[in-house]
Amino acid sequence: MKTAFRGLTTLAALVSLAPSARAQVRASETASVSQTVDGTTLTVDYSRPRIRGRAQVYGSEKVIPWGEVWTPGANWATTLEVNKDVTVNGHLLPKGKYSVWMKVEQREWTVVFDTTVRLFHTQHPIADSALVHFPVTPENVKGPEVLTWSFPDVSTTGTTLRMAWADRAVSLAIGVQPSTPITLAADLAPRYTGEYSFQWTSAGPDAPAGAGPPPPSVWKVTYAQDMLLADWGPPPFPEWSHLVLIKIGDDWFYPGAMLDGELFDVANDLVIEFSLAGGKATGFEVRGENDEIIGRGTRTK
Amino acid sequence: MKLSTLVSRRHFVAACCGIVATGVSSRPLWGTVRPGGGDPGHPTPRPGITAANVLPDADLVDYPGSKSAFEAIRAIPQVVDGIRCNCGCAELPGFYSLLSCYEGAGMARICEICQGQGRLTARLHKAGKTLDEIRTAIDARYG
Repeated sequence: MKTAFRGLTTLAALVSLAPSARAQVRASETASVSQTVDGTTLTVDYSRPRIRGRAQVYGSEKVIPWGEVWTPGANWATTLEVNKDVTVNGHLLPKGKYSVWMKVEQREWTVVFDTTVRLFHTQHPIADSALVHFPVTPENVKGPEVLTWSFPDVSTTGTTLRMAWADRAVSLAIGVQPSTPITLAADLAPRYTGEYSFQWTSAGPDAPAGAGPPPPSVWKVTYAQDMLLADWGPPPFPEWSHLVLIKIGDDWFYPGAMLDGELFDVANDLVIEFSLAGGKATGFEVRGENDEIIGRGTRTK
Repeated sequence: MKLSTLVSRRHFVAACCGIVATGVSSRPLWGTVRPGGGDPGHPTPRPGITAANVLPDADLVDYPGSKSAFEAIRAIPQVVDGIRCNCGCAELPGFYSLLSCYEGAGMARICEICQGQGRLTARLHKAGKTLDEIRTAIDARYG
């Protein structure tokens, strides 16, 4: 029986691995979806089964019986690869590649990530593999004809990884590690807080020939919620009126733009370099990626 | 407010600073190594290295914005040779160090990261920083 099963699995695998040099129609076409969040890239590779007129998918003895440990895909197990550690619904998933499984029950499902990646769907997770598993409650949905993995939303700190097929969907909350912490130690903040007059060194490219730089603006640098913040008035664009200064070295910062209290963009091609005298910043330079000075701030208060 | 309406930092830099008149970066198309990624290892300066192969001013006529960077690194080839370039050109055949960006095809003529690393290296060297301190600063800024 075991030999017969192995033979069947091998046959299925061979069918699945038929030469790709010629075009072929597949019952479950392969797909890949990827999302990067703050330098962390998640990639799902899977095959996409279709409902094909079947009245019931989940709970059907012919498709996915209740209690089945199922790979949300078809043929070879669906895989998830992450290039950095992430959290999935609050559970640590270390950097690596995993086969993805879901134990399908009538109410609560269990999501399983198995370090054994290359498994055919009939093989199921190997018991002694290092597994990450946790319960989830699937949503009842009017889902797609074709099984679909997607990232329906993205924030600066994570994304949602969602599997939907037929009348069920599972959404997984992915958290990523910030590439650059935006907090600053409280004892460092007094060096920089205060008010600065800021001046660009040149006019923008849209300015008339011979035009000088725009009038000076004001940076009010404060410390709140463990962050060094700068209110810029008037800013070059409304969205740049609130900055967080992200420390990357001694007295060096990247400017990050805040929107509704949330970091939404880090300009890592600019650097703000403060000059200190007597332990207090006297001003700063803003340098571009080519290290040339594009603006200067001078302390006024 | 939709994020699609927000200005990108590239647009921000271009519009405010006039660095890139077209608003398009001169960053090499094969990508860059940014914070959090890439191998931060730096090369060991080659004994006796000189700036003899650094492109002369005659080859910079069409790239006036790069001239000051070439001038800066010509004075300190032994330091620049101990710096890894983070624009992605370190993967190219024949590349050894940041100094290589200023030789041969002269990528530094068009690459703002090559220029920036060269200028920063020269600036920190002038300020009395050691090679290790310069490497740390380069990694923080471009690594």
